[in-house]
Amino acid sequence: MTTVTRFRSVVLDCPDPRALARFYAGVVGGTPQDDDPEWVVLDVPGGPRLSFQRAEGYTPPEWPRADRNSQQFHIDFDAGSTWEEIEEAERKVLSLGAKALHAEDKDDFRVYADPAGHPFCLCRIDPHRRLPVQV
Amino acid sequence: MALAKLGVVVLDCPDPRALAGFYAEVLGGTVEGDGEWVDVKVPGGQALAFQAAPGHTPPQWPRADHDSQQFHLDLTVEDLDAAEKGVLALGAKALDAEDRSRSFRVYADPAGHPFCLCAC
Repeated sequence: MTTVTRFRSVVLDCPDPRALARFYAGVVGGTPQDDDPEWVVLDVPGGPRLSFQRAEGYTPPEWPRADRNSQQFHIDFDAGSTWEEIEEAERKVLSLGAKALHAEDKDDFRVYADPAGHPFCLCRIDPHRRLPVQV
Repeated sequence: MALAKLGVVVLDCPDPRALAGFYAEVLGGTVEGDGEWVDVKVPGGQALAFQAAPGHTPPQWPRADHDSQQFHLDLTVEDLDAAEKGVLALGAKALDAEDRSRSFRVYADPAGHPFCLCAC
């Protein structure tokens, strides 16, 4: 394909863009640009843009089912390389309004729902497998 | 202060390898892995991953109350017409692309996830 596209934003539907942007700013940093209550942008430091758009009548995913009201997407966050770092990140996301969905330690990740109900994972990442910082 | 770094954006789909191939063509990345979880690494860009979701039902865009898209991706392009031709040839479908005066158009990827091409 000769077309070149560049990644611009990951956009999350939600009932309250300002509130959900504040949650993700608490997780990954940055300051939401929230002049427009319908569409809020969070420039993630060292990463892509997260955008939040208001969806009238929004219904959250019924995780983990895939056949109806699926999550469709989720975001994996690198929360550190040790379980102590994961525990600390968990305490913080719960204090910001996340809910635990699946937090067994047989895998290197734990699953939560953000305040709008979108599942996301906090992942323990081996330093050798860490993704490079995005530009 | 940040408590985590944004790692990977993961898309549910019935055929991870196939959908990874679509986005690797669109974004210019490379496909890594096979089976239930496939990664697409984009040089200097956001990493994507694709996980198998048995029984996956695609979104009924634009409704939000049932089978919502939940998320979508905005992709920046220089030339909307050329990019449209490219994504349609790769298996995307136009959802809202008739208004040629707008700076964005909406398509569905081969698994049914809406995405936008944006000249902005």
